[in-house]
This record gives sequence, C-alpha cells and structure tokens, in this order.
Amino acid sequence: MIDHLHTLVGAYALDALTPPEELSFEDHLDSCASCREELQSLRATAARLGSAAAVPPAPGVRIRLMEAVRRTPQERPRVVAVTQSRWRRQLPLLAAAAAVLAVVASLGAFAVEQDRVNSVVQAQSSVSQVLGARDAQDSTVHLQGGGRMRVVSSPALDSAVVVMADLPDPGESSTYQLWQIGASGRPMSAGVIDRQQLGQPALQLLPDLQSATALAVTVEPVGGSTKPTTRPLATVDLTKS
Amino acid sequence: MVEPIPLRRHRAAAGDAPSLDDLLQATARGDEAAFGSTYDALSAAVHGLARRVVRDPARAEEVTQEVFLQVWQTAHRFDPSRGSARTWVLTLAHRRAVDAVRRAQSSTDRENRYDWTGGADVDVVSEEVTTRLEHEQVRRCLGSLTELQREAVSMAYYGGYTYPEVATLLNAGLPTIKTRMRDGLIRLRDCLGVTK
Repeated sequence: MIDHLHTLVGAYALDALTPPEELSFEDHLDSCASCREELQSLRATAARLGSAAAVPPAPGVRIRLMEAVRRTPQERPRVVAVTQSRWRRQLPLLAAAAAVLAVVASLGAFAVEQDRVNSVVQAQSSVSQVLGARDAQDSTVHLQGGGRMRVVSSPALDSAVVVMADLPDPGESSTYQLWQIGASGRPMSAGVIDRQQLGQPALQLLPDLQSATALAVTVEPVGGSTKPTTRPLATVDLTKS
Repeated sequence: MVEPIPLRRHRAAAGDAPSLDDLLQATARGDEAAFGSTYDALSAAVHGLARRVVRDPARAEEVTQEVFLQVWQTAHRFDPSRGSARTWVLTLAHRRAVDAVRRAQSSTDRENRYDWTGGADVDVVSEEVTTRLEHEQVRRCLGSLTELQREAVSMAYYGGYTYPEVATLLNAGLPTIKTRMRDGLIRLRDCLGVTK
C-alpha cells in the first residue's frame, strides 16, 4: 500500500489526483520524508513547465490587483496554544485546510466567482470549510480487520469529513456503513460506501451531525441497513478535543 | 565581447536586486511595493499558465488576479526551505487554474479546449529572451520523454485533467498513467537540472 501511495507523487505534483486520494496521499506525506523530498523536486519541475508558457497579462490586471490588495487584509500567522507534537501532527492537514480556505476566501472576494459556483462546488467548499474550521478536530482510527478512518470534525459547523482508506473487501454482498450517534444513543445512518469504490479512498461529508457525539462504522448488506446489524469495527469520539 | 545570457533568472548575487524569496518575505510583512515587484517578476508565468489551462482569456486574467491576491494574503506561509518563491507561486497558480477548469467545463467541452499541440503557443509567447530560452529548454526536455510520459504530464499539467481522466483519454490503465506521470516528471527534472 505504501508503494502504491508513493507512486502517486507524480500525479499529486501535477494536481491530478481525485480529492479523496489527495487527502490520503497528504496523510502519507506526513510520515514519508523521502516522498516530501521527491515532491519538492517534482513541484519545482512542474513549475518550470508553467514558466515556459509565460504570457504577460494586460496592464489592467496589475491596476485592479493593486486596488484589491489595498482593501484586502493579510492573513496573520496564528499563535496556537497546542503542544509541539500535536502541532506537528496537524501540519499537513492545516496546510491542506489553508489551501482550501484561501480558495473559499477568494470566492467571497470575487462576486463574479459566485455565479460559476454549482452544487458540486458547494459540496466541495463545505468540505473545505470543515477542514479549515478553527475548531477542527482530527482523528484517525484503524478498523478491526484492516483499513483506516480519518475524521475531521467541527462542532461549530456541526459537520465532519470522513475519509476511509485501505478497506478490505467485506464479501460480495456486504459493504461498509457509517453511523452518527447522538445523545439518544441511537445510531443514524451517515452513508454507505459504494462497493465499486472499495479499492480507493472514500470521502464522505457529513453536513448535519445533529450534535452527534460519536461516529461508528459497521459491515452491512449492500444498500445499507436502517440500524446496525453487526458490531462496530471502529468508533470515533467527537466530543474529545 | 557579448556575455552569454544566463538561463536562470534569479541568481541573485550579493548587492544585486532582492531575490524573489526576499520579495515574498517582505510581502508577508505587508510591503506593497515588494508585492508589486513579485507580481512583475511572476505575472507572465502565472498568466501564461492560466491561459494554457483555462483557455478563456478573460477567465485566465481573473485566475491571475485571484492567484496574486492569494499570494498577498498568504505570503507568510511561504517557507524558503521547502522550495523557491517561483515554485510556490506557480504551485498555487496551477492549483487554482485547475480548479477553475474543473468546475467550469464538461469533459467534452474540455477536450475541444485542450491545446493538443503541446508546448506554449509560440505566437503569443513573450519575446523576452529568458522566456524564450526557458521555453526552448523545456520543449527540448519534453522531447526527451516517451510519448506516453509526455502526453500524461502535459495533459495533467496544461490540460488540468485528473489521472483517471488522462487514463481514459489515452486509453491506458490507471497504474500505467500514474507511473508515467511520476517517471516522466523525474526524467524532465533531470533533463532540466532542477535541484529543488
């Protein structure tokens, strides 16, 4: 699996990965110094492809830009009271969140942009908002029997982004189902993984957690169940900070 | 005696004009003049890249403006130990151009809009000598790749396609395309002598 992930470095440097793969590759980068080194050199190479296409923009662009700059406050580095190890652990996520946040911020800055936004983009920007939320919490758990589930949740947005990767095939007529568990203790379905998608990382946005306190994943018949019929393979506590 | 024209533009000698890295770090401290100089040094590259990816000239100008506004807002995130200022800005630019093209167009539309000839449009390439040399060197090195490597890298970088889309368009397997993107970029890196 590591080898498989490592070869994605070229596609990642070219921005050619799909969003779930991008997230799982960024996870991998976190623990792979040689990948980070290779990525740096491949990004620099890709940038040369960009430089080679140079065409100066019309002078009006600079004028409009400098006007916009005068109105636009800069982001300040935020001092966060967290321990060094936690900070380090979160860096790649924060970097990804920062990148999407910047996109979201500029969507606001350019009204014309809004006209182009379709529902797909709205879904993506919700993912971005969760990843970039100030109160975002990030945890990764391993599923019994294999696979990982990474959850980034924001109590303020009452939303979470779930990425499941490396899930083993649970058998021909079964799949994985995600549950959100609220104060009542009764699990509500939060989505079923399409069996076709089992080979690749699955990304799920949970836009309305209804103040759920935990997430769980079980194996269910294809199509999903109305309530869990097997024991959870993993749970994530959403209340811890 | 005429000095040969240096290929690398930012070999900032001591006492020379500030390097791009310095300019970007000054931008992070709110220096608008430094930001203006950063724009002057990199706007042709960012705009040209946006033109290649989004094709639509008006949209490419918008993307250029968005990229530089993002540079202004987030310059403090630039870390010179992790790559050059040019790479940082062009990485932001590519990402944004790709996002614009992915949300704007259906795939059939994009096929028509992709420039299949490869390389920059010569007639619109800046006359600036350094740009032309850079362009020629990149073109030569792209020529040293295998056809599949070159197509995979160009379609992803200049066309904004994801690697599954590239695989479909080139009628090749996902693992093949993934591998060709990586070994293509590595060969390109070595040919261009990119160190970081």
